[in-house]
Amino acid sequence: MSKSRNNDPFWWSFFGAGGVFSSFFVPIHILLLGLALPLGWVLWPEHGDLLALARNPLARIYLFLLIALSLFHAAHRIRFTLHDLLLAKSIDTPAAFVCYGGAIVGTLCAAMTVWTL
Amino acid sequence: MESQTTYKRFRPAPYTPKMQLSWWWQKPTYFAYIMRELTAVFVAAYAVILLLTLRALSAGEAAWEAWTTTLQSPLSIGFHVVALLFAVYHSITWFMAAPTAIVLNVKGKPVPAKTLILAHVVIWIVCSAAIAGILLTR
Repeated sequence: MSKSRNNDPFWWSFFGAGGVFSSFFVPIHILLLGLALPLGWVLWPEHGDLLALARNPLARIYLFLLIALSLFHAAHRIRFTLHDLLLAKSIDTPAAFVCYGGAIVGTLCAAMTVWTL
Repeated sequence: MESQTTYKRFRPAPYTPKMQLSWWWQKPTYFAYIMRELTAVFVAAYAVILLLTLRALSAGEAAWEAWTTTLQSPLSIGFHVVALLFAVYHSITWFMAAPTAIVLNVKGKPVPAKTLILAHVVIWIVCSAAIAGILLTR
């Protein structure tokens, strides 16, 4: 029996959760905040109303999960894609550090931003 | 004494697959695979933009005005168009892959893959409509 330890299942669980969350919610945010509102298809809500909405406890949790899980999902995917694209196994360890490290930093930023909103 | 027969050790040449960096341009399926994986770049980029949006929102009205002006720039619009295409591709490919990860039995019978994919699309539409409704009725 091999006793090798592999941390892939741990990261994969975030990849999976992030994949589900981002596939359901990211497109509508891009469409609304990135296109519909800036191009004037719909009117911008007032700054105060939007801030009040974001400060709702459920909205804070939602926004935090959306940002954090999307980052971990992307980190995992980019890590393995780099390996495939560059055909270099040696890239894997540094890529893992940069990708997951970036996701962790982004998650901490998201937690701080959402907390102090 | 006669010269001994010399034997050569059988050394097969190590198999080195000849793959070029351009491998993913060589077949449409390879290309589609890399495009699917590249959706992650846009998902990550959008997570950062959403974070910046929240920071601008909490930084006060002046910062918010500046941020919404930035979002109106051609560069931003162009980015969001491309990001939306990739995000939608991510959603669709994710839903198509869902039946391989979810094994659901109803009354002892496995739910067909098509039903699972359709269920995901319905949830996607409901989620999107809910977010749009909440955001635009402020």
